[in-house]
Amino acid sequence: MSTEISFTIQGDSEGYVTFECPYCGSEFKLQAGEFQNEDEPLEELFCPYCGLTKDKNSFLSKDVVEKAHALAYNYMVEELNKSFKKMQRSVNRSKGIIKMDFKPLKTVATKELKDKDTTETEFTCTCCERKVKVLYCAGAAKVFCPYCGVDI
Amino acid sequence: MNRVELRKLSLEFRRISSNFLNSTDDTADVNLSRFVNFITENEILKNYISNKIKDVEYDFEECFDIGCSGWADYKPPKDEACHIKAAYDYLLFINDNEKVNVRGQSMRYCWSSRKINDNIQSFIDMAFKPLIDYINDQLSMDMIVLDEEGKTVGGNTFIQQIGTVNGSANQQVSGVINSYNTNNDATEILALIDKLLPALEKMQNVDADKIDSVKDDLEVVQEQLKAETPKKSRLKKALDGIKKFVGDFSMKLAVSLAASAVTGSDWSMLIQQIESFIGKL
Repeated sequence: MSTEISFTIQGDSEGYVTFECPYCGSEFKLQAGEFQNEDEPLEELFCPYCGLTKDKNSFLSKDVVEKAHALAYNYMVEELNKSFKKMQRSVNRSKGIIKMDFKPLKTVATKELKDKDTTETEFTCTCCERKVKVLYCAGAAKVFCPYCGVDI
Repeated sequence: MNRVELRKLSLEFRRISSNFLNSTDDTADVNLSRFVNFITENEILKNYISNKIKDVEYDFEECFDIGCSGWADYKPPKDEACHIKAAYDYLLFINDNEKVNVRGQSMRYCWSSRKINDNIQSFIDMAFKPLIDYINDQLSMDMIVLDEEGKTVGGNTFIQQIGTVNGSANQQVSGVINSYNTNNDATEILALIDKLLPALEKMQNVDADKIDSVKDDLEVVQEQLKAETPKKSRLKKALDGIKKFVGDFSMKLAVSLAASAVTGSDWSMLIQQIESFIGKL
């Protein structure tokens, strides 16, 4: 049995959401619409800073992973609490010498994910025409397209 | 090599490196061999490595604790060139030795995960990522230099090298013109260093040691330029340090630059001018 838990991340004022490179730890922003475009599904991303590539889920930011863990934990806690509550009712209904009591597990707090407007520079890839926002220093850094990997 | 070829090489290198870093138990040895073949067969990559490690005396067995009994300790040397040499020699050691493989080497170290694939990836990251980063940085720097050169022909920023100007020089182009006189490189470089040194003070989130180190490099350049007979080797070493700093902290540099009215092209111009100065020695 598998259960799908979904949640939303609010992008910045231009619809950009933060990602994090699993190799160098640098943060960059991608447009949610381009990242989730069903016509052009993605399997992997390139880091715009170091240019290395990995499957797209590895680029989810720490906040997103934390929230996913918290939601999964809360789901498990609620299911366990429901099962024990049911068992408690069933045991106590029989009016035998055994009584059951249980203390429900507590869920953890989750926070809303919201990207703020920051000072990154927006680039459009000349090859695939998709966009990325990165911290950029002209003449002293190279920026790679997160989708096709070419330098912008 | 032209810009397109360099871009293709960079993409190909990043793809092979990423595959190597993401290796699993089944693919680690093949990916290692492909990576070794790629960096040893390509002249440009081979030169990057040989330029860095020539004249370096360091035994990789010290760094990777080869031959120890029990868990091995990873002891990277302080000197970057020694570190690169150790990673490169270790790579060849695994590739050339039939009795040695990636899984076996990864199991010499103590890892927190119980999954063999995680441990193999952690091992490759620990042992070979510095070498990958070094080559990647060199490729990016060469692309930056080619970009800047390209702009002198048709971009918005013009770096115009003027020998001797007699009379008036008229330039009418749209964009920014950065002119410097190659006959007076030393003065220009010294002026650039004077401009860049205060910007370093404003850099945030960068290790003070790294800032001190690049300051030392800039001061070495100043000292050599003022000397009657500048020493090529000292200038080259300082230039390598400056290049590494610019490569490592380019993102943080952007923040400090914004605060002190220094542009990124000042750093690349400094690198170009020092290179040009060294070329004339």
